[in-house]
Amino acid sequence: MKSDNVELDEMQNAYKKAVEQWIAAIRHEEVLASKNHSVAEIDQWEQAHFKEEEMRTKAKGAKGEYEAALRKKFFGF
Amino acid sequence: MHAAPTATGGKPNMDGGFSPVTAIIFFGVLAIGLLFIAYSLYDDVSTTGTAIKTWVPYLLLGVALFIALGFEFVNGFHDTANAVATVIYTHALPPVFAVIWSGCFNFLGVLLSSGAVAFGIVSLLPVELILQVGSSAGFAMVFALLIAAIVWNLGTWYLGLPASSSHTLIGSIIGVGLANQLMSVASGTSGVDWSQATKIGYSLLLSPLIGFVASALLFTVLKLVVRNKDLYSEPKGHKPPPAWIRGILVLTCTGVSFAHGSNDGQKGMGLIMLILIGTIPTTYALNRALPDSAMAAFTKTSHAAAAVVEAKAAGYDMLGDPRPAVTAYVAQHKLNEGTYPSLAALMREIAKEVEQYGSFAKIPVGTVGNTRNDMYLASEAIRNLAKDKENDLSPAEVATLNDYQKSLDASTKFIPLWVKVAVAIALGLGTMVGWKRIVVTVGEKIGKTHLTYGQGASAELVAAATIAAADMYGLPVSTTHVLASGVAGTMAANKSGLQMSTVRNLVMAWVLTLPCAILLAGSLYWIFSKVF
Repeated sequence: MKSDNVELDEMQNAYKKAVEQWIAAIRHEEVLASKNHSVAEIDQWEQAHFKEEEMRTKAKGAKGEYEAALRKKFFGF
Repeated sequence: MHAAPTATGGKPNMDGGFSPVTAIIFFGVLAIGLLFIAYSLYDDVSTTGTAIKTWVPYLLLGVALFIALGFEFVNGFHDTANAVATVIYTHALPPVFAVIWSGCFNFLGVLLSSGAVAFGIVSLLPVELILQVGSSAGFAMVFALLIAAIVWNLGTWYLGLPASSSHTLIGSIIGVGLANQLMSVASGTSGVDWSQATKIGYSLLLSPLIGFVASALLFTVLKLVVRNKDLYSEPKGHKPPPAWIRGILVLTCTGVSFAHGSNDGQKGMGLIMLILIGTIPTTYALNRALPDSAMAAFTKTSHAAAAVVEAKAAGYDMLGDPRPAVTAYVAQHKLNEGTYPSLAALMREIAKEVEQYGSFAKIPVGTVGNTRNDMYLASEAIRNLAKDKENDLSPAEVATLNDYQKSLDASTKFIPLWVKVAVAIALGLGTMVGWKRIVVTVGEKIGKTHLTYGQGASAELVAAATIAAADMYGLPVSTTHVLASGVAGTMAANKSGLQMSTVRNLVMAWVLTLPCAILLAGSLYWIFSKVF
């Protein structure tokens, strides 16, 4: 049971970390929103969006993994 | 919770913990099933003495059988949740045991079904396509409707949405009929049974209403009558519910699985028979295993029915081929002065064909397909005639015609044991894989709180009762919709709150199933009939 919880703890931590990274990516994207409305800055801002998407997918993946582990623990599947 | 296929703690999660032993049994049964199908086909073909000139029909048969059994397999895991979701989430049975249990009862449900409903689904298809199912248009029809149904079922399963498989199949059938009608405007064939679409319309309104209201009521009554707090709180650990609730849940799970096998298995059987008749009519067009006593019964009912129809023909005779007029009546359900005379002529021809050889087994291989078509046509015409308000027949006359129809059906609407076994294996094994996605939706994503023992029992009991009521009173309801709405109903009655995004997706999938299946099957039919 204890080793189960260690694994769950790890997954929960991975999930929390992924969410933090995702939040950071959102903030980063927001910061890059062009002050001067220039094309070069917009390019960077758009680029940051893809990074944010990637982080979101990662966070969702970690969440799914943690949820699946919890389901396995409670319901056996 | 998201049902992503993930590794749990580094261990592979084989979709519900399939152990190596389970996997060996699974693939073992699959292999035995395939061998059994191959042997039975070989045996059937060699007993009829058909000379194998080309392998093309057998190749086509292989592909068609693969798709038809694939449809049953997908149907199996698409609908597992109806039987097991509440059982798993209330810890009444462990998950893997529950799906294997459900799979076994699906298997039994198919094997013990009468096969009587199997041809009901076939008779919804355009009659002119059934009569020439071996033609390219016939194959386009079978492939289009099966593939469309598989695609929609797989799609909704992938998204974890419990939508009705029956609505999907009927939508596909309507789609093929509609496309057939649109593509042959000149011949004026009518291929769409719109009453089926209306029934689905009612089902869309009725099922959620019955599921939601009845489950909510049952749950409220249960709460008032049985004042046991444990029933209405989240299950603790792996503790199973009290014995009587557990009993109800296991019993309803068993019943729902059995009924599903019986109903959905028969749909597959009907379609497989259509494929067999199309590819190797010499072997499967007529039931050659009928005993001679059936022959005597056929002759007797045939003469009695002929007397009834001849009398209605009022001395008019039919010159030339009676088949187009009878086909037109079956397609359009419009009785005119030519219907009775042409039906009488068709019946005379059938009697002549059959009596000439003395037994169904002796009808030569070359003519068996035509005899079958004539019998099928007469049977369908009589089935429609008996329901026709303008038929001008007394109840006794209708009974005579029904007897004749029954003896016709005994020789045309039969299902060999191996077809039942094949469908039973496909559906049974299908039930045991991939069930997780939809089970998770029903168990975790509809309500905001965990499903309690009381909620699970109320929703499942209503779903099981609906199947029984639908059988008895012919109610157009979908088990899948009733169960999902039932869970929602108990959540509402418990003031637990609903996850609106799931509810919205569910309703959208339910409403879209019919039009999407129609569109998919129609487009596929159009493409296939251009390609083949």
